[in-house]
Amino acid sequence: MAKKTASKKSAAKSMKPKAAHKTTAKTVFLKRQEAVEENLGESEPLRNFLTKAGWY
Amino acid sequence: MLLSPADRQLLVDQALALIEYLYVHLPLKRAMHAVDPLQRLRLLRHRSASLSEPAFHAEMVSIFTRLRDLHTNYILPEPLRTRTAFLPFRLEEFFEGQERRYIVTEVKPGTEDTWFRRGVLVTHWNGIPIDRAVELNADREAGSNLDARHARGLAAMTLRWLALSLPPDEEWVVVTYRSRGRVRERRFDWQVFESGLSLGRTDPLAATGDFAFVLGVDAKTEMERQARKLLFAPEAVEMVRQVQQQTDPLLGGGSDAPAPVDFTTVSKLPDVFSFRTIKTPSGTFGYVRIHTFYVPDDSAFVEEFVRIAALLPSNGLILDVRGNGGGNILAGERLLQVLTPQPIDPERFYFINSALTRRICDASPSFVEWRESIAQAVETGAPFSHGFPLLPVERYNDVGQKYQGPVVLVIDARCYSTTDIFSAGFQDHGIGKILGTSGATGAGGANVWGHELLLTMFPGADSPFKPLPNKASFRVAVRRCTRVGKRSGVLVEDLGVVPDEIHRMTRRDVLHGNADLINHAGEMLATMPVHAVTAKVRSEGTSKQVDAVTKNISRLDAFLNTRPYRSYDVVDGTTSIDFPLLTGSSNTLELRGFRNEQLAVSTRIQL
Repeated sequence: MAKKTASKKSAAKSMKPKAAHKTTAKTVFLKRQEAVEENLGESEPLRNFLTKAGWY
Repeated sequence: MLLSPADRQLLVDQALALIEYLYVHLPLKRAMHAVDPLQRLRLLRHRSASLSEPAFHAEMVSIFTRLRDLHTNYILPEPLRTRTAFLPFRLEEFFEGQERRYIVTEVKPGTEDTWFRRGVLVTHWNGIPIDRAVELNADREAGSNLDARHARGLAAMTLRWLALSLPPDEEWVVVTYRSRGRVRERRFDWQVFESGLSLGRTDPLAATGDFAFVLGVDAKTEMERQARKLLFAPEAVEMVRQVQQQTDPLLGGGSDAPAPVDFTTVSKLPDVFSFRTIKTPSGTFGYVRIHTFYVPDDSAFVEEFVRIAALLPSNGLILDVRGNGGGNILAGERLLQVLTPQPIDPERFYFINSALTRRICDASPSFVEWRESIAQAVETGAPFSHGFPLLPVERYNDVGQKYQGPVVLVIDARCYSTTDIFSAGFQDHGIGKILGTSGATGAGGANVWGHELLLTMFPGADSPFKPLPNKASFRVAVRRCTRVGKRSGVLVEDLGVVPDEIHRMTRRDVLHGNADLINHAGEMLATMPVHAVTAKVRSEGTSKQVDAVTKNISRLDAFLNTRPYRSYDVVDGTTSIDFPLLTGSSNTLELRGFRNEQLAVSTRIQL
């Protein structure tokens, strides 16, 4: 019984770093996305822009 | 942005004045590309009232594009002038054997899905085979040679600065691509954003002051480079902010100041330079990427290059200028001296002879050298003025050699203008070898002025230049340049610089930091000799002694304040030179090392 518990515990332990890594990667990804959107400012579809500009 | 009929006439008239009386390459372009821009403009003047807005701008853009000159442009009015259209990914090419492949190398964060991601191969574009689609796009670009047009056509598939490019005809594209063994399609809408300029960068269309007179830059490449940084490299944008905060006393030092930047790995001009030490199978070398020469201060540019070169291995340097659309001609030409012991002979610049260029040269002391030959043209019939460098020759040799190792320069077809001039100078002075990922550089050999600059030179009612509507404008090549040395007199425009070796980009190159390209450059460096001379000053009483450590040279000549002092036969090791009776507070010693009677290396120190 003790051995089973121990192996379950160690299996649970080995899951944690992977989950943590995924969370970190997702955070980094979202931060990057946020940074790009901030750097670009507002963007709009080409058609909207050209219509407002009187191109058509 | 609607232009009235009077606005259109004004634009066409100004274009005619610039092309007929100022455009230095007109005779060349007529011959090389069989074009007649003046007649096309006259016809446009006659027909402009009946054209739609897009058709008018399309014809103006086409007239300038057909010149095949990236310096000479029609700049579309607001709001197009300050907008960039983009698709949220970057398309590049590589070769598998002889076959060209097109691959997605960057994706805007948030765009990737299970199938469409970095590394997928694109096969069709709106149903057109991708090679043909790029070719169709390339024909709409102004590049001087086929390689340049192709490179620009490829870039324009996903990014268009609307100041110099017509908006895409399509509102979206359907991309067919291969991913995980399956063929898939995805639609991407063209989006538009306001063309932000990274912190501290200036608009290449709005340069002012002395800087504006010495520009040699493909403005489109420069702006699109900035746009790609915003789309795909937020870390690089953030690094520019951090460096600015750290180096600008007005911005730095607040409670929210970021951690200090390590300037042993990051340039103080991070938008201009990136660098690192690299290990290749042929050895460990330095690598410097010069992203742009668009810097207002050429001395600060050269100084920063010298600083980072000193941090890198001295046995060889890979200097990568691919994608560099040029900038400040003085920065490019003055950098050459740092890489060679040879005195630099700068390129010569010429005006076309006309009443307008005569008026320009008479009006400003900056162009006094050109006055006489332009005035004489009435009698001589010469089509061009005499040629002169932009600065006195001493300015191109005032720093001296600072990097003594062999250098391999890496170029491609997107290199333009100042980068062409720099590459030509590199080749003409025998500084090192050139490795190209295309058959030649972009071939832009001229100094370019904007219409706004000409307005400031000629204010007043009798000016040939008039303010233009809605910030529409023009740029024009006003002085052409020729090469020196063995290729003395050869034009840079339309001919470009041909590399010593070609490297076809591989998949590993485009996806893994140019790995194979760098290894190829490393192989070239490993065959090139390394010479070195360093000097240390010792003081003994009133006299000074210099210990010169030499490597791979057989003769060492010492010049004190430019005058010959002594000559020594040397072997690897230390040679001591005495200076018993120095006068004056500042004395410059130059040591020149020779191998087989050829000047191989030099250094300068203050005694």
